[in-house]
Amino acid sequence: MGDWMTVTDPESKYISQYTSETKMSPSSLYSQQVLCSSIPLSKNVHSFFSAFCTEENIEQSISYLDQELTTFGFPSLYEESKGKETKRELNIVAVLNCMNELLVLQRKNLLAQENVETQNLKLGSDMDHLQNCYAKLKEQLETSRREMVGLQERDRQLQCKNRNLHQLLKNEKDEVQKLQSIIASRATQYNHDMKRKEREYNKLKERLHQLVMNKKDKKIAMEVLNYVGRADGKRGSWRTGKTEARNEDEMYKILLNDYEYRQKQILMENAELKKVLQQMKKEMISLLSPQKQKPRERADDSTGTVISDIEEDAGELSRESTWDLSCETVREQLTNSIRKQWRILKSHVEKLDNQVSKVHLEGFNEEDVISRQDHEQETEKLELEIQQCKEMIKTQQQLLQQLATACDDDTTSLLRDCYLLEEKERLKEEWSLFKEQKKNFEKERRSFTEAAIRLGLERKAFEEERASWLKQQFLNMTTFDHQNSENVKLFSAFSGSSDRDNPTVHSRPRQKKPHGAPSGSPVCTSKLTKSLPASPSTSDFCQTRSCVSEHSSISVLNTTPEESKPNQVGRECTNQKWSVASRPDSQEGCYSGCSSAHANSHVEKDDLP
Amino acid sequence: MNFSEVFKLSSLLCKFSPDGKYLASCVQYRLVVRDANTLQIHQLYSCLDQIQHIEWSADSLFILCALYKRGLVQVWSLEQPEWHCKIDEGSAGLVASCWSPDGRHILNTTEFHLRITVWSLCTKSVSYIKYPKACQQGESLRGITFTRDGRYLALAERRDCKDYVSILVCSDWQLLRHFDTDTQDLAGIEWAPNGCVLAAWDACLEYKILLYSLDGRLLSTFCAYEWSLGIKSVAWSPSSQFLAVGSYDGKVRILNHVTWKMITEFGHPTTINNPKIVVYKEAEKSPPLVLGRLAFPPPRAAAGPLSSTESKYEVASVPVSLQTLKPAADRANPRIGVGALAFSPDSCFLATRSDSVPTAVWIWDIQKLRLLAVLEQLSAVRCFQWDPRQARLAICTGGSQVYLWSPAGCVSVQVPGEGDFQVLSLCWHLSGDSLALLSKDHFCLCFLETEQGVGTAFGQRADHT
Repeated sequence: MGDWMTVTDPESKYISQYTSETKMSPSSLYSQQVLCSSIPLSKNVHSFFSAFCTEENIEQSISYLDQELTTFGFPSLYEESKGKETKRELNIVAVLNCMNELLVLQRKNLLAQENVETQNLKLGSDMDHLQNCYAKLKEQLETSRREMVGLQERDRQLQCKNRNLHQLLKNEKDEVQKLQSIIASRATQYNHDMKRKEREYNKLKERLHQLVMNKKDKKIAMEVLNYVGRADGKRGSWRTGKTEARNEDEMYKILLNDYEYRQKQILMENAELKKVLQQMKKEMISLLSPQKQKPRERADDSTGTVISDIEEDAGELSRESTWDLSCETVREQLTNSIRKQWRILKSHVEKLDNQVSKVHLEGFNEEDVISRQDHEQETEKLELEIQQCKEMIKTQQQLLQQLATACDDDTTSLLRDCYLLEEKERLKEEWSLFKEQKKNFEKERRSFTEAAIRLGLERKAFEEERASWLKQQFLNMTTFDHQNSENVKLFSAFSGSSDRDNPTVHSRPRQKKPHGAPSGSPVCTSKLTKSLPASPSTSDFCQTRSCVSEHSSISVLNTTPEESKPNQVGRECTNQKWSVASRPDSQEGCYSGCSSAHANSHVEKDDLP
Repeated sequence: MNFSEVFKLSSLLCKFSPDGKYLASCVQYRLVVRDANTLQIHQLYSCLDQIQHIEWSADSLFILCALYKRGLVQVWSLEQPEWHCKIDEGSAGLVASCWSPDGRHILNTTEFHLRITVWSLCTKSVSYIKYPKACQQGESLRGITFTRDGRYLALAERRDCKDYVSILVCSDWQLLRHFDTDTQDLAGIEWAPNGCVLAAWDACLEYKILLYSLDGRLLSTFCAYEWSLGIKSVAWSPSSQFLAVGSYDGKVRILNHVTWKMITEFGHPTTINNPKIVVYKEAEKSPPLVLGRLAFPPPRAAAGPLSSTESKYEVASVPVSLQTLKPAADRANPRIGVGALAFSPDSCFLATRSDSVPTAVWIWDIQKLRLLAVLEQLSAVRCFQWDPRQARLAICTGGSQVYLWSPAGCVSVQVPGEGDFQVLSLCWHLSGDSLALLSKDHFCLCFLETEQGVGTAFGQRADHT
């Protein structure tokens, strides 16, 4: 077969047919070879004229081919011989069939080959990719391994350092201990020495004293012209046991006086403090009692009971007599009630604080949202009512029409049938009645529609009011931010991540995926540029808005492709519970768009290295 | 503010009588008693030698003059100029002498603190108190203290290497209580102004302060820290409510009179950052150039500018760092710690001086328990004393100025007169209207205006801005 291949190769036409494939991939050469070897028949056919078959060996060739074909499972080329003696005839039909079949096979093989090649190609690229991946991963592994080694080294160094420090600490501690023991020993030694020296000194002093006193020093004397009287005019008294007792008495008297004085002072102080406490208590009660209803509304049982306690206590303690009781009896209840009140006050103040902080942090306090929700519910309810009314009106109308048509029919028939005039009159009356009823109904309907319109107007006004309020609040807030972040404003103006107040908000938004960003950003950025130059405060406003509402920015991002329709944006915004953006106004839409755009740009910026 | 003419003085001995009528001063061996208002000489006495110590009796009738070198005490009567008394301690010597509160007994401490002799001017009787403890610091006796009402005397004693305190009744010198104190080396005792509590503190080697009741019970002990130099100064507030303890760590600790625990701790930072604290910085005022007085040979003022230049206060803007002295660690009595403490008469303010920052006086607000003001002088503060009537502090630094601080402001006053008048010490008159300024050889009186005038003067002079 190898011989045939070499023989077939020069076949120009055949080659040219496959060169394109060989160019496609080097592997196709292999497949060609396989093809060549697997289908020798086709080559045999091709090379028939050149070498395989000549004039002389037709018979052999045919028989050979027949053999070959039969071995490959094709029907024999020869006709079925009737007898053994008769020479086998070449069956042209069979030959043609065989050829056709071979050709079909060939085509199929070619197709298969192509498929295999493309697959091969694919696999090759896959392989490449995988190899790339592998290389990359290997690199990564290497770097991480290196990093790990570095870290380990650092860890080791730190541990070493730590050990050294520990050692130093221990040394220092030892040193301190040593020094302390030295100090202690020195101190004892010093004390000992001092004592010894002092004893010597005392001995010397004693000796000196004796010497000085025994000398009968004549110099030691007092020369007085005449003795003066005592300051108090009394004479000196003898020392007796009585005087001693008197002295003791006096001493204790002095001490007692002092203690009494102090006790009096303390009592006075106590009274003052009690007064202050009482006043505080009263004020607290007066301050807290108006809010009594609110906590009860919230079904807060504990506060309710506490307040009732307070009321009781207030009743008790307002009696002045209790204040004159000694502290022990009053103290406990007093302190308890004060404590309770203080707790309430504290929680109240904390709540207020929280609200304030929420206002500062989010820009929208919870209460507002709740009221909004309430409002929405209310409007929904009203709308539903309107709908119901409308339906009622419609049914009534229908009924009326039916009635009217029925009446008409009746009257015509009556006229036609020449009913009684009286009857006709009655019917006419009835007709007018119906008409009036209809008119009434229509009036009612008009009033309903008017009410609906009014409601809508009211709602609009309310929305406007709220928007203005929010705007004001925002302006306040932004001015506050202004003052606060005067120095960081440069960064904050564009980075959008300057808000130091809400780091918790900022820790989150990194995970926001900018899937919608590429499609949405062109629109949004244009809007941003439109709104940015308006005034710096608005840009700040947008920015704060973006920061504030980043918890809802996913939905914003999702909405961005449809932003061209302002109504839809508005609706989306209502879903996000932005009270300002809820109004499907163009300006609000712009605001929301701007904020969302900013969020987008923010995210994009984050993605940038 | 008016100044009197300058009078001669020696050894800084100049004292107002307790009733405020007279002013006694010493010039060598002469004792001059003047009228405190007119400054006319009321009496003149001559002692046997140079006077080293004078003291008025509590009733302002007698003055004792101690001549330590000779072991002599001479007593003079104001009512009877011819009356005299001379007490000779003989060979025992004399190191300290003081009146008893009744003004009829004199307590003399002999040399080596062998004994204290109590001489009576009423009778011939002489009593001896043995074993007094030698805890004297400079002029002031820290081992003898009388209650303010003059009834009791507390005396520090040392026997058999242990410290004791004796409480004696002054009327008949009878021993009332005698107890040992738990101290290594008692350094001083001090009665509270109400006379019911006695504070006793240990020497600087150990931080320990003990509080005893009049009947000898130990009320409390306070120890702020160990292993370091301890108490340097102690002061009771006039209300007996607080006890301020200054120590070598540069802090003042205030104890309260109810629990005897520490209320607060005043450190003396060398840099002041709090903008609420007013820092008055003394600044030299360049003398006004008067053309006519520019004599060709430059006057002496140019030669000695430190004493003669005028000064003023400026309110320094915080942070201010004060000049500190680096103490010599290898010497005894290092110049560190709070060396001087004084409460204002209304107990509202406390003035302190930290010895490591010798140029500054710190004034603390006791009501708010915080630092109120710091006065930084050009030279080291010699002495300061509160006006006995109001919250007004007089300070001298050894220069020719006297400085006054009040909550309204701060003022520096040049002492007029030819030559230098270096104010080394000062003492207030009882009424707070005048102030005696003492220099090495002279003294003069400084009369302050009435309260209103002072107020306006302060308002004008010291602007807080």
